Amino acid sequence: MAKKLRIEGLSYRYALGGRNVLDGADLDVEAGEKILLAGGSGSGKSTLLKVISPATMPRGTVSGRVLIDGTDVNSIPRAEIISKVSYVAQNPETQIVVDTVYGELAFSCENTGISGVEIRRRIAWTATYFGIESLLKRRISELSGGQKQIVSLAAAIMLKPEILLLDEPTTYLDPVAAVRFLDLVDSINRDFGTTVIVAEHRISEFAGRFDRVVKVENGKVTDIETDFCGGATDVFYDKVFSLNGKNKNESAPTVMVRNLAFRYDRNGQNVLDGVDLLIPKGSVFALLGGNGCGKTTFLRCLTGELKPQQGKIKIDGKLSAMTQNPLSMFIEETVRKDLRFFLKRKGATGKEADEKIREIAKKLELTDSVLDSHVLDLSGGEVERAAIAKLILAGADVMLFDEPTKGLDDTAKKRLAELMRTLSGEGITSVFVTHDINFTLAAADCAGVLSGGTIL
Amino acid sequence: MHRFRNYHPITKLAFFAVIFAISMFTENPAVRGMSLVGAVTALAAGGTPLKRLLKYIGGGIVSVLLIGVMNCFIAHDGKTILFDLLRRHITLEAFYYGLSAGVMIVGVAMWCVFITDETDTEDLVMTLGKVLPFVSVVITVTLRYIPEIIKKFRETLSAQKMLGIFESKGYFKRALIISKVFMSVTERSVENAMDMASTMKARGYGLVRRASARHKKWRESDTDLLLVTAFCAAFIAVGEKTGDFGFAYYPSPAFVKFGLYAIPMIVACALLFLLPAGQVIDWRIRWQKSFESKA
Repeated sequence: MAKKLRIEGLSYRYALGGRNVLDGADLDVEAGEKILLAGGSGSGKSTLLKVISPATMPRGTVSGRVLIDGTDVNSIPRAEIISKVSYVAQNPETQIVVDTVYGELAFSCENTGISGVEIRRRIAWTATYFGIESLLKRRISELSGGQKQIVSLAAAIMLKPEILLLDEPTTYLDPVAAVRFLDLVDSINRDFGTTVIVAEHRISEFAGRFDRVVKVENGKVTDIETDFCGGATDVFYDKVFSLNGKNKNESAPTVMVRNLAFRYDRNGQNVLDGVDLLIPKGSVFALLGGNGCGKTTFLRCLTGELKPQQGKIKIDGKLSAMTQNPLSMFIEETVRKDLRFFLKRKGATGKEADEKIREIAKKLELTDSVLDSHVLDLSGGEVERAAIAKLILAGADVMLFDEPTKGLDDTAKKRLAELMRTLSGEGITSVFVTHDINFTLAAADCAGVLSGGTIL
Repeated sequence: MHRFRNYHPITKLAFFAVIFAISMFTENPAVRGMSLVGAVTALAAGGTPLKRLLKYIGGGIVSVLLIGVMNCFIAHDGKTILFDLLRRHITLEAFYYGLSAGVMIVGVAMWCVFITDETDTEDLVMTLGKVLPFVSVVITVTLRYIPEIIKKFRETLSAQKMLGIFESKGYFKRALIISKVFMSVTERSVENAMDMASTMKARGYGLVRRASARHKKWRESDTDLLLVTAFCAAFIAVGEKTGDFGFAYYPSPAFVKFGLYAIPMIVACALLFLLPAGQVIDWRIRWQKSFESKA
């Protein structure tokens, strides 16, 4: 019996790439199977997903074969392959094309010439299945990250695909939203027999949900043992609170917040309602809490971007902040050019700037290749380290990070945690808001949970 | 009757085309005034917050006065000379004409705000989707990315402020940084646009002639509104043609003629301009009553 999907000796090299990202990869997938595709950053997981369908294949050199139901994908008409294989990208921002949820759901069907009546029926059914009826009339810009990812998935299902490919779909989601999203993927696989392949680096948390785990390494695909399966996402805060007992730092607080209250509307409710907080100098403080509880609002109050209606904030030293998108820290093409421009604006000569860049690059392990690459070509971890370099060069004594682990793989998270600990040893205080409990345990030495407008 | 936004996009398009045509091509200050009053009442009835509405009215008054004053320096006709400037007469009639033009411009601007409140992109896409599918996709994609680009610009500017890069004084230096922020955001947006083009292709864009999922039923109320609009437009057009409600600003402001068609023309204008507000008020009353009946 023919496999649903068969990959035979697949090799692939990007048009501007110097090496084969995939090098003779083989994979057999049964109909209705659910596979987790593991592998580190840059291992070729995303590339493998993209080259399965000619519709998503980036420009490059390919050899080997991909067969769907025994037929080479290159001999399947494009309209048919688009209906058979749906791909959901890692970042919903690049996946979503139009401005409303309704339009987004309709987009693929409209392109393939399905009749208007049939599209409307499919939208009604899909919205009910995914529980997004209330979002249908909404604009995409009004949705949260989790909602956008669900809309992307729903749009992918509109063509009733036989194979669903998901590229690290939980990267931009908090733990609860990630679990909810994967529950939906499970339902699709169970209810429609859709073959599902998910590229994901959080193997220990999600492997238990899948029939099989395969790993992409050195351009090849291998089955791996899943004896570590069954680990659940750590959504409880017990371990986080235990951090505070370990913090023996008795030095004077560098961040002092007293009875802080903030609301966006005069007649609205307080988002922050009597927050008290002392963060000792050189600490790494983690602030956790559910979606929309006010974590980012709290950071924006600390930076002075929002003016609280009540309370006092005292920060001892210079404060700098990194937003959720560290790319926004850079306004030049390369990291080196950007840091040079920044230092010269701060009064340094060209020679002094170069010297400072050399020092900070050594400290943060920023290689020449990272410094001279276009910022848009850097990985998530590299951009974060470059952004931290800029914060240090700005002379920050207190650094604020808004969701610093968003989009980072485990290795990059580990390096970031180590970096925060190193900076802590040098007396620099780090404050970050996150959903990632494992990262909190690795990086922080004190933590709080924002709930009901106050920090517990 | 129902709220104005529930009409078919083609009905709304026709109605607002007539509103704009009358407001812009009729010189009579009474008609222009009615257009402005109609727009303001429509906005007020439509639930525009009082603070925002007062801001519009305040801005509108300033604009009208400004246009009035500016016209004095452009037009020099009229018999009431206020003073001479650079050997040119500054006349009261030119000021009046400017005020009237200002009322027209502010009125049209207010109608634009009302249209924005009462229509959405779905209306536009629905109207164009079947005729010009390519244009409708361009519009929706643009509308998706404009808020994203604005958000990115604000975010990048805020990040640079936090880094203290704006501490250096001097407009030139600030302008240089802002231009760099703009360039970097543009570059990132182009990169995103390229990703989006790949996504569109992967999702079948350009394969076959696009279908349209948007559909809105044509209701009796659409026919009714179109008939009323056409009837009123016909009266106003005849009135304009005969000049029965004609008005001249020079040499002094006065009605040229107040003939047979003047009264029907005023009634038709009032009906058209006050119709949106009336519809919304009627809808609100019915809505309120439906709750009372349940209670």
